[in-house]
Amino acid sequence: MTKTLLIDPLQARERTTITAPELPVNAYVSDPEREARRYGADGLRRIYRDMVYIREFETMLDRIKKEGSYEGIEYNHRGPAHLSIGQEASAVGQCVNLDPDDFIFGSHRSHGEILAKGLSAIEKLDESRLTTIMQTYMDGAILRVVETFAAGTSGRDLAIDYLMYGALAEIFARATGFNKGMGGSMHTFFPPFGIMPNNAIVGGSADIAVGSALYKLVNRKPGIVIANIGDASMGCGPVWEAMMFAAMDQYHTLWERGGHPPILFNFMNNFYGMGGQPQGETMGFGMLARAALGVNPQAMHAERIDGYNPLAVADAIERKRELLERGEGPVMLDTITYRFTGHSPSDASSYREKSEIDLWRQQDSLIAFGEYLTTNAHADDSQLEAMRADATQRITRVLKAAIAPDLSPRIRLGSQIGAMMFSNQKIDRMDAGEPEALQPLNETRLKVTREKFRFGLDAEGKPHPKLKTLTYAEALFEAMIERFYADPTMIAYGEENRDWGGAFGVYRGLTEALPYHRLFNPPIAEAAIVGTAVGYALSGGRVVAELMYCDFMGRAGDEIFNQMAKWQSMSANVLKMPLVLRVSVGSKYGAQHSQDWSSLVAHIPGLKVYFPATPYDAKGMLTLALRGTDPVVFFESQRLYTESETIVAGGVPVESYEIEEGEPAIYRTGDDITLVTIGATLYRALEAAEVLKAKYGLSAEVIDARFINPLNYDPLVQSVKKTGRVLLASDACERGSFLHTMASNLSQLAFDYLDAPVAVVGARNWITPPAEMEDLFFPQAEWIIDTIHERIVPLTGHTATTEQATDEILRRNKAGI
Amino acid sequence: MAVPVVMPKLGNSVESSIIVAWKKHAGERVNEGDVIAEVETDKAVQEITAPSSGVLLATFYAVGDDVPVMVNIAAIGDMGESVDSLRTGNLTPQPSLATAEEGSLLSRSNSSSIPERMSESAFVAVSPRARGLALRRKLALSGIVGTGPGGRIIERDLIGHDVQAALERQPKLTPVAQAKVSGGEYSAPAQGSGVGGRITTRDLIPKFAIDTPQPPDLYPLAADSALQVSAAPKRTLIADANGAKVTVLKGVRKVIAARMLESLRTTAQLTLNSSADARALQAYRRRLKDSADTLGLRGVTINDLVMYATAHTLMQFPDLNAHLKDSAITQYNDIQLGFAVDTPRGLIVPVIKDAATLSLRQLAAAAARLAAACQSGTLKPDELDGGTFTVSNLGSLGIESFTPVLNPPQVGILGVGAIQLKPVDVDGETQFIPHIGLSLTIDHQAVDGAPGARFLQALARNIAQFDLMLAL
Repeated sequence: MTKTLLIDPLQARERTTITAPELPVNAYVSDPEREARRYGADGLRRIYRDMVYIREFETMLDRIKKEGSYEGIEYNHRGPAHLSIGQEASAVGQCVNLDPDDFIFGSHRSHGEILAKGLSAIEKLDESRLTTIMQTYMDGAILRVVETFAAGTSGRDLAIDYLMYGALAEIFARATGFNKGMGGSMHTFFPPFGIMPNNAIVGGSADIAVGSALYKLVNRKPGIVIANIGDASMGCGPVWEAMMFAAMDQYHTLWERGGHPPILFNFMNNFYGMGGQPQGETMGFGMLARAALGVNPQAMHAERIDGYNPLAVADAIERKRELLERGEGPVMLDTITYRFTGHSPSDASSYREKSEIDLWRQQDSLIAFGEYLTTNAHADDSQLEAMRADATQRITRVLKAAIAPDLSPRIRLGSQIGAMMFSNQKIDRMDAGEPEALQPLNETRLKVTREKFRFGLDAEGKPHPKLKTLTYAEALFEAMIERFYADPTMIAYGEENRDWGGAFGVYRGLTEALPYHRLFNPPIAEAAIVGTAVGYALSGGRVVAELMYCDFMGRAGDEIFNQMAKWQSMSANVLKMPLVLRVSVGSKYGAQHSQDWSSLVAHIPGLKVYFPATPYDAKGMLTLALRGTDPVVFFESQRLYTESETIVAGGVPVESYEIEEGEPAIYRTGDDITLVTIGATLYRALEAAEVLKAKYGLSAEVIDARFINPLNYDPLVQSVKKTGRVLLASDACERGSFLHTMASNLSQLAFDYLDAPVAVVGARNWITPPAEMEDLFFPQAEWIIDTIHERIVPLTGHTATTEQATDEILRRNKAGI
Repeated sequence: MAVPVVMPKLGNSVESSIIVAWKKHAGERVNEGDVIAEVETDKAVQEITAPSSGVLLATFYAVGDDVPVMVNIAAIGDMGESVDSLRTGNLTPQPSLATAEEGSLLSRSNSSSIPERMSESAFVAVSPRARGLALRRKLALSGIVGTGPGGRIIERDLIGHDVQAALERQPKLTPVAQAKVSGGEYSAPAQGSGVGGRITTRDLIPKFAIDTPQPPDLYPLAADSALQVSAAPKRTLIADANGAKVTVLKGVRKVIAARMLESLRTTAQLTLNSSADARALQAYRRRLKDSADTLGLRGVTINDLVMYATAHTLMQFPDLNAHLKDSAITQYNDIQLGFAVDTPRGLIVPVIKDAATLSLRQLAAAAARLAAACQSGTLKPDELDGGTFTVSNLGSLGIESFTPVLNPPQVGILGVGAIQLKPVDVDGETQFIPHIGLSLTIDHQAVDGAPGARFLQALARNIAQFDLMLAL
């Protein structure tokens, strides 16, 4: 909320009605003369040509999948192929009035869109630019293959073969495909032509595309962004969240940079979602465009358009783009179309009548547009035939090359795939230019925090006054603001980030320092918060998204596990992901607000996971994350936000610094037992270490792992070699805890040095009970001591008061708790 | 990358083998399949062939070394290639580790031949760290009380003050004596004859002759004299003076020695002597000798006939066809009949599998094949396993009766003696009837005298009516 928007009760309680605009349906009227003037004969013929290319390309794939051969060439394609035969007019019409700077994001059925956008870009880019793109993309590897078989030796003709080859080789999982085979049919893309990633997750492109549009808006980049998603995706939560995020009032009520992100939600409405039928069966909107009425007063300028007429689509795009460029987005188009082929090759179309397919075949846009051309004397039948023949020839030679093992090999070294999981780069600023701010850095709240005590205890070991000592939250703030003032692309958002300063005060002071477009409150839409951040990051900008509680990660599951984690590798590192997702681990807030879910993200390849437990680490690790190019899930502990640094001598440095990635920190040295912790459990382990020393003469070495992935086990192994005993503890529930992965690895690496089995202490496998009973649930110092006594080395004179013996392991697992 | 030559596992229960000879030497070229070494298990000699062609870069063990299976014994590759990564660690057993002591006796023998003393003690948990410390510091684990969870022996149990003090109190060994003890062939006594009670080489006890009395000391050696540096034991010095031949116990001999001693020490064995009317045997043997060649029966021996009768008699006396192990008697339904074969290398006892299911011809053929394999040293180690009863025939050497030594854990062994004339009262008249000597040794822990006698009586009767046995 913001103080500048007053909620007036009189206005709120006034009697009135809500009206909504009327939405045009199939409003386009063909005017051949106007169209001839607008596009020219060449342009109109090219529309036909592009549709033919797509038809033939998809037909080739259909034959390959169903018959194992095309034009005498035999091939067995084992991967997916969701074909769009019949939908060509929607794809080609869309791109007629798009520029290379305009981005399209797609779905699993986007081969046609990829080719259409590519062909449009090839037409619009000048030949020297085309040559440069082909020569530099992947160091010219794809161009070298294409040059061996292309009929044309230069310019546009070569580029068309290049486009088709790059896409087909990618579909066939070749190392010479646009994404080295890592993406395949459902993730093929080529950014130099404005072809941004497709998504195998239904509706997955919606929030990513919004994030990309946000990137263009914030960083003043030209072009609009279109999300091509299907009609069934209107049932998906993240799609709605994306539309809400794109339609927020604040873009035009609060932001200094007026105007909405230039996003167009284009629903390729082919009336089916796999086998389900949204209109009539699985959704209630009747006509899809109706959904726009629920988003904003302009109903997203929505129209239902005839996707079987390429000129109707081209016209709609032209009109909507003007709206978007004026900042009046978001826009929705309900583009009706139809696919003749099934959802996938395994689809026997059991859900629709053949008569329905025949009705649509009679409306085949290829035939219809061909007739339009001949009727209006833009081409004769022989020219149309020549275009079809050219398509067959072109696609035949592209196919031959794309399946040749010597020309188009596959990656065979596992290490190459592994190396693509992370980019591991350091980039101080993602773009040139001055970072926009409302005040100079030395007038921000930084000047207050700098003056605070950097270490929590005085020379006598007594704590400084709390208000005068730098806290964990303030250490995070210092890292954030330093990066904000260094990287012009950096933005941050999350619930209550602006004004409130974040639920835990980490962003206090940033509201005064930064304009709205760099720090704002999104809707309570966690999927969109993360999804738009993914789109922003893969478009080239640094972004910090915040989920107030890590317990909310469930709301953004797909975005964290399938999008944020995977785009670097699915794109073969064409894309980077400089996205930091800050989440906090709660306590005292009950079952749905007090969980440590770090083990869930540890399991998903492609994510880096950090969890600092001291202010010193918090600042150093956040800075590290904010200068890297990999996605980081950054865990913080609510128990620690108001705590000061009491371990690292000298406290938190004033200047900027980074912690070395993956390195655990030894926070107490000892010889008799190693205690390894993740998160705030560190402090309870230190407590236990005191008791072990005082009462039992055991000197404990306490190590904070602080990094979950990547993690350097060396210092841990060295410690275990010294002590022979190791216990790991964290607040994550014991079952499936990442600590077990660490314990297993330590067993492997230090087996011969172990004097006892490796012990893991985690939270009970229950819901988190209310604050008053939390000590029964979260690991306590006493649990650590009892576990040592029962399972590692009996402590003289100690009696265990909690249940930590090995028979508990049997009993609890049998009971499922 | 050099290719290792691995000591193979030559049988289910084989834990290690002795290198008897190197046929190729370091630096020689070898082809794949060439014999490069000969190794000996407790019973048989096997050839080790080169797994690939190249230069034999190095041999890691010497003749006489007892190498555990699956350990690299040599490396083949190109001249100049490094073999360091293929060398395995020191395998000499640590003599003061109680477990290793027993291990060196147990490891190379059949599980059926030596009772497992380890089974007497309960399983003792020892942490990997403590084990490593024990090995490095040559500390004994037996007798240590574990203070880890569940009584596990942990590191501190080996480095506590008491243990240190005990170590302090142990008498010192001279460096040469220490080296010999480390070599595994000797153990140290409690006190030594050297300065300050130091244990010198002449005090050391050779491991293979524990109970053999020491010959008198004809050449008393001064403490720490230079002569102590020699590698040979004290007895060798005296023997060399007389020019007698000394053979250090190793291989087959060593194991036989240990097994025989073990058998006599750990069982309550006694021998029942009897004899059986041999006329039926002799008559049948003559018929076999005269039989058509094509029947393949001419080679059947008296011993084969006796073994046949024994196998079938055992079917009625399962208490003699049994094992005593871990304080339990296991009676077997099938007869795995071992029989003694005298070879130049020593006594070998191969096993005829399922002897009671074989025809006489099959049994004889099996016996002949196994005996030949024993002589040529090509017997497979698994052919020595699993015996439930043993027959030992010294009749051809004129022995009338004897006390065969049990083959533990078997509870019975039959000694067969020569055929002699024995006076028998037949209807008041004294007739001299050929009888074959039968000496049955039983383990009284499992089989009493009367049951043993009953078996022997039945056997004698069956032998006397040998032709009827063939119907069974």
